Amino acid sequence: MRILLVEDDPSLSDVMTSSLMRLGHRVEAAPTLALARHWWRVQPFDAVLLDLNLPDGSGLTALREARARGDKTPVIVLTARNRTDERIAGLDAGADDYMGKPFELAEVQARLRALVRRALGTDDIVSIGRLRLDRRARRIYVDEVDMALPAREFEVLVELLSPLGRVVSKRMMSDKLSGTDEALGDNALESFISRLRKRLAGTGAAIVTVRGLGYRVQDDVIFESVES
Amino acid sequence: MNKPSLRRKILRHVLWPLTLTWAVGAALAFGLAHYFTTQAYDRALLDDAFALSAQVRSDSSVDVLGKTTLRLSLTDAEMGSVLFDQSESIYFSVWRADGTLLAGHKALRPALDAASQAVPVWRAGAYLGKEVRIVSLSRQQPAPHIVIVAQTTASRTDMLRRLLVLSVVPQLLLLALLAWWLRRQVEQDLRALSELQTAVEQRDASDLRHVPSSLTTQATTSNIQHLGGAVNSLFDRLQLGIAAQREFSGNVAHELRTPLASIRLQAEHVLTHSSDTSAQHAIRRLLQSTDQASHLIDQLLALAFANELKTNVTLTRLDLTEIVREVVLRHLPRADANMRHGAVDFGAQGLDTPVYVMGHRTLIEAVLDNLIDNAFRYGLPRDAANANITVSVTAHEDAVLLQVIDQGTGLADDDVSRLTERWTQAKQEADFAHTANPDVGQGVGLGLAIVARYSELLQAPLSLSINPAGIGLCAQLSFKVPD
Repeated sequence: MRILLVEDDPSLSDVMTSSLMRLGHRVEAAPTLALARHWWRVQPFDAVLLDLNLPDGSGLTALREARARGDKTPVIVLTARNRTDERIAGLDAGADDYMGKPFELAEVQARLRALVRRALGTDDIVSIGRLRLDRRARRIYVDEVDMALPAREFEVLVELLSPLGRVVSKRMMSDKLSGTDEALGDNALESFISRLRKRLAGTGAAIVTVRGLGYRVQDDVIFESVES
Repeated sequence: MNKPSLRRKILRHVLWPLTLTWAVGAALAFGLAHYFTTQAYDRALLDDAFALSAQVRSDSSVDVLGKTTLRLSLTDAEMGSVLFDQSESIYFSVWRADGTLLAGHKALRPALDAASQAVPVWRAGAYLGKEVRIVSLSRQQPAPHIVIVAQTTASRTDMLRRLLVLSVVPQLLLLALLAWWLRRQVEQDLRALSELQTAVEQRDASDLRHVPSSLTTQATTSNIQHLGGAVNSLFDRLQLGIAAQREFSGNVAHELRTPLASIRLQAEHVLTHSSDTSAQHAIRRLLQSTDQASHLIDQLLALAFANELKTNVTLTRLDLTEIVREVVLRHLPRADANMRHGAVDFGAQGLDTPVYVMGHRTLIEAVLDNLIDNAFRYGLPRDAANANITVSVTAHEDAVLLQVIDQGTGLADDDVSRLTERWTQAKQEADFAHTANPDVGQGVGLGLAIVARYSELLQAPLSLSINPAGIGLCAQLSFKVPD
């Protein structure tokens, strides 16, 4: 992946560049706003990691400029200013994600991958444990064997896997899955969840209840103690 | 005590001297009128006395004592003509030098003897129950005698009264007219000040727009123009100050967090590439320290933010359940991370239907972040298996309760008030060393101080109590319900 890293702190920039390069990315580091604007205009990137506090201005200027000329490169804002109103300003300017400093490289990497997948439309495949969802084929496999789920259970599981790790409330699920002539009640939903849990047993994926908030799919190695 | 208004003060300063001047002027005018009226009437009275005296004749004969015999040679009709007055009564008497009455009213007695010089003597008195002005005139020809003429004073008093009314009443009316005009003008001139007051009194740090141009460049007086200009310039300076304060917080955050991010990434790098266990141990401690420092920076900035908002929090109608849902979801990874040390059932209740409160999103998020952080640090029981942290929203008729309930060691009553003070860590961290949570010991004690401060700004009273289930702490904010 070709990444533009806009960061003025040389030490942070160096360590990020070398870490990202070790992970197989190509990184162009820009320590100033002027250089960032230049690189961003003349080179195609798969993603931009953008610091806001730059010596010659705010990183948001470069972001707004890029969005104004129709550039849709995924952008993660990396900033020390992570108050809600400041986060909102960043997202309003066209950022796709926002990470407050200090951050873990693994998280940056995960978010980069998710953003790029979304931007390229390659997030049709979702895998967790032995479970694999192929959105385009509308199939869910366990070890390449089609689970052949009934339509409703398939829709519930797809909703929980979009994206993976998302907490889906009963109401959201019901709103999404109810037809115009047929409402999906809580009891029906719970019975679908219960059946899905049984089907997922041993696949490495589990549907976990987040009390008061809804359900999510996670690696069941970690969550088996919660559900037991 | 209430201070007088500027308008009243200016009017008082103008009208008092004006009234005093008018009163002195009126008294002077009255005095002069009185003097000249008296002069005119007295002169006529004296003329009457001289006319009477001129009619005192001497006979050629002398009396038994050898003195010249005197007589008043006027008939009653002539007397009436000499002493005629349209409105007043005139009385007279003529006395011989020996004090005997020659003619006239006996009761009008002389106040001087006949040997006196021919200087008239004036006096006021009463005759037949009326106030009279009396003149006594001593004459030597044709033989010493005294003429006394008295005139009632009704018409001269009446004239003085009329003079007084005609001069004072119009002046008084003019004075009232002047006072009304002055009041109107002063009010008009001071209206700009009231407008300035209205333009400024509703302002706070979020509204530092310039005052209208009618109070500055287009003001009717230079004083208001300068004052309006000064207020605008103060607003500009305030704006700069507030911007600088915000900029400072942002810069502090940047300057402190950026090197921390760098340290963290370098430490992670070393951790993944070093096989030396002692180095790995040191690096893990280093990572813990960066987390702690980062947490401290967050909390210090949160307190600075509270001070920044001190007079400037606008509470709006918000769906509390939506904020709670978002914050709880944000903290879920932390509950997942705790799985390494035992399961934590981190969840919420009361989020099924929207619940509206008067609040401020950033502050509510910060309160929840801190309370949840506290619950994870100190709210996990010794036996961390099946630990439970719940964020709850309950709507009552007059208030909405937001609670964060944990199952930690709870608090003694003394600790409750102490906990909300800055830098107070939940008693001694050593007390919590027995808990299963590795985060314990990393707190910096600012969390509840921030929550307490923010709850004031949110006008949502904070209370700390024992978890209703008997173990742990229940931190509760009571929000106002929108009208």
